[in-house]
Amino acid sequence: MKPARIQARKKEIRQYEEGVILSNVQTGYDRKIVLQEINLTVRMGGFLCLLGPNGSGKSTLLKTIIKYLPVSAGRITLLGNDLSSLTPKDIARRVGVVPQKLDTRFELTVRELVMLGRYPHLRPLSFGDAEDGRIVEESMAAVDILHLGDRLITEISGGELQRAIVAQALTQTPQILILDEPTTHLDISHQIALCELLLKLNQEKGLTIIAALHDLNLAARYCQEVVLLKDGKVFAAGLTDEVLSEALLEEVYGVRVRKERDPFTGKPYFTYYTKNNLCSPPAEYEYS
Amino acid sequence: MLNKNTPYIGRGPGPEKKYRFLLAFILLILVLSAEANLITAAAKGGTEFPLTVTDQFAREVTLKRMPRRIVSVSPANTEILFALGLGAERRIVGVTNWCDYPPEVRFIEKVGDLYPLNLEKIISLRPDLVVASDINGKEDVDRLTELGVTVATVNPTTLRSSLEAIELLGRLTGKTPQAGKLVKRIQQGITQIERRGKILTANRGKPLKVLVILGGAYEGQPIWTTGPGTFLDELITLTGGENIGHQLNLRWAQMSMEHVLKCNPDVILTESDGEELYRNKLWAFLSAVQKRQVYTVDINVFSRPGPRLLEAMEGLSLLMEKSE
Amino acid sequence: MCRIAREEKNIEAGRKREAHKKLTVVILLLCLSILIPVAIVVGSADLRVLEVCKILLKSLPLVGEGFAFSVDPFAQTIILNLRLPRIILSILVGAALSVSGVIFQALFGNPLAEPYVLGTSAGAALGVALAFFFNFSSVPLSAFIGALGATALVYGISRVGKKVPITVLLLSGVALGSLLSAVTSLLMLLHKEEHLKVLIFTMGGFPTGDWSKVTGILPYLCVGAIIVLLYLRDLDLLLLGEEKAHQLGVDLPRLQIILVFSASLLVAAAVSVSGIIGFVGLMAPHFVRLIVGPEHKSLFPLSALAGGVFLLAADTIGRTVFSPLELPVGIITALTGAPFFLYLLRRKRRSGLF
Repeated sequence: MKPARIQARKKEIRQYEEGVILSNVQTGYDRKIVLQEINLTVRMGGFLCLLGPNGSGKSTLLKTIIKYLPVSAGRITLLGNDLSSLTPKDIARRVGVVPQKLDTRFELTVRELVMLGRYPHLRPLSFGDAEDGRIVEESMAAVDILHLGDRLITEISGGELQRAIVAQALTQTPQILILDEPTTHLDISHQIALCELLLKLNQEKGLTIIAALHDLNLAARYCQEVVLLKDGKVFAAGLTDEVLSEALLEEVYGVRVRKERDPFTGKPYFTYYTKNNLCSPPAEYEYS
Repeated sequence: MLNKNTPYIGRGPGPEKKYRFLLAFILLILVLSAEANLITAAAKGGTEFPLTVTDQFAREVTLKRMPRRIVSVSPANTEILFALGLGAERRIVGVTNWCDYPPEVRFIEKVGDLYPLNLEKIISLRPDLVVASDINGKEDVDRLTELGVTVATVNPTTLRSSLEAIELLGRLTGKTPQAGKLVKRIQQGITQIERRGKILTANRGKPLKVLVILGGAYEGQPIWTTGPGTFLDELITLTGGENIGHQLNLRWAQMSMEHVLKCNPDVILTESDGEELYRNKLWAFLSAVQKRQVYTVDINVFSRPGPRLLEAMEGLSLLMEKSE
Repeated sequence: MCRIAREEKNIEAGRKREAHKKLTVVILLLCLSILIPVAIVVGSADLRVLEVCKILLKSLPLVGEGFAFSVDPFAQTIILNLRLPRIILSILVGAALSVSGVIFQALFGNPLAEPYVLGTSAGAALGVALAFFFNFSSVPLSAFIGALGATALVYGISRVGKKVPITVLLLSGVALGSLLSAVTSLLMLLHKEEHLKVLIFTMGGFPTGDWSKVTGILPYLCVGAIIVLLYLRDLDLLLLGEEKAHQLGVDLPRLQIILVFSASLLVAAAVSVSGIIGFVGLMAPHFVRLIVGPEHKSLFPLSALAGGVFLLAADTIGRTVFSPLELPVGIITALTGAPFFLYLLRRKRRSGLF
């Protein structure tokens, strides 16, 4: 990237306190409304987590922020710009996305895959110069997949592929990184590794992170802020420790939840039980 | 339409296989000796060159000299050209792979299919006249002309246009008298079978219903027949018959078995073995089968005006007289 | 053990690819430089190599007149006006079909998409048939409208939400293809004078080489190819699926329209001179992809080259094996391509990709 472009970007970062502002947003597929009355602010440099049961609208919200789904009412502001005025390319320069799963039948190599992340920054007919190559190497180094560069994406493991996709999102040099249930297909070691990576990116590079997660414990351990969605509406939002209370979670998920603290980190962790079932605490048990 | 083992009417019994080579050899000798007479024959032709005529597709064709290297790209044209004696004069240098009559065509270089034409092969024979017909398609004929080859086209669909085609080819090749003679003979033949046909119809009160099966009838195969506008259709009418395919509005078309049963033809002309029809339960309903009036003929003969047509007309007329 | 061996093989994939790209270019160019002279020399007219050389020298611009020897005008016509344009036509058509296959495969996100399978060729053929029957002068334009209509229709029908399921795509392509072919057959029956022309047309082939056909389709090919060149990187992104492509900044609706448009241009140009030739758009890109990978900056030019080589070889075989009878080139590509298609279908199914 040329110095002038870096300057411009730094200026843009400084300019905005809020990364994304959603005001009274309503959205959905075709005629079915999935989300409504969404009011939300994502501050720059934050690590925000979207939680909620299946079908609560987490993925839909993320797709709306990157304009993949149209906004039927309300307004979204992305880094100070009205979303409707931005082209997909404008958005891709500012926001990187890591989907749950990459669905492709074509045998690209890992390096080719990561390089595609530079697309929104390239001029027409250009296939990238040395600077773009350097960014690709850096991104691959950041997620520790440099040694996989020449392997085919159809031949590597799910965890490796997921890291490659993160690397691709990083080559977009985004200010905001969006992840849609990135840990779903990963085993626990890869789950932790990915979250550690995100935390590192967030703390060292100031990258704003918005992640939809299923795992309450991961969310509780890594995220600063949490947004709880239920039936297409924001049920609660705020600092992680405050929002994730036993009562709220029980209301949102319809299960009994026990909140405890991890003696090493001091962060909360959760155990959940269905009500009146074989594997649940006795009925007379009272939560603290 | 190319079944070789079928006994034909219109053509005498084919030469025995072992004599074929001998026959061919004799023909070759004849051909060679005819070469000497070429000039005199042309002089007798009576056509003056250079010559400009309008062919049957209204194209102007100009021949500077009498054509010596003629390529025929339709079987019908080949038969006409041979009938005019051009084969014996060795002036036919190319014929299509489908040209199978007269037997001498075996010695003439093949130029491939009727459509699309193999232009490269045709040009490589350095023809000074290519005789094309409606079946070759306008595009290829135009392209050949564009490439500097003189092409004359004929459109022999009806009896009348076929006779005109013979006359046209006669003029173009300097064989006007021969063509005239051939046309006259065919015309006489037509008049004769027409007279006999009228008598037959008058005696019977109504014409015999005739079904033509192109290629022959086979179990489960569609029946292809001829409609109006072909000279097979015309000949059937002339000989006192009524082509049941006449109601179709295409020259060549498929006919349903249902329609055949409804029309109940008295006579069937087919290219396959009639015995097969006699054995078939469905066909047994037809009066043609009941009266055992299924005849095996070579339909090709009826689509190519030439000396064979005369005998074929005669044969058809006899078949119609024989039938009831 | 087996797994280790496989991994070692794959570790090299990327580095091998770079080497393979250069090798493929060299091999394809070599094929072409052998095939073209062979195709000029062989044919149903027996011309000697020396004679062919003389004719070619004589026909060189500027210096040609300077040669003292004379050439046979008949042979000259055969070489310059029949064989040469035919060779160029078959290379151009092969390249166009192959590239349109590349576009469709990226657009539909599936390696089995191809103009013949999708019904685009049938649409173009119907356009050509209509142009014949109504004496419409611009055959490629009419073919283009047919191709565009057919592709848009197949795309519209087989789209379920944001996805194009491959089974629906193939089925609707085949169904629409047969429907359009049936309409073409019907037209054939109603206008019997032209039916032979259309029949040959549906079998696919280059019955006559003709410079006017070359110049007739060149504008279509150039426009189509230039548009695709401008969007090569977008094609790469489409390989990752529509959602990911959007996330990386592709304006999907616009890109889809542009790609369908340019692919239709290419198919129309090809079909208007050679009829329906199947499977070129499947075989050529697939072979190239196996060697150099799916990135379009190499896939696009190499597929074009491979398609040209393949069709030139097929046509040269078609016009020489049963000489003077000519085999329509469509029969040869179908003979080689259809089994290949079935093999791909089976292989893909085994690996659980649909």
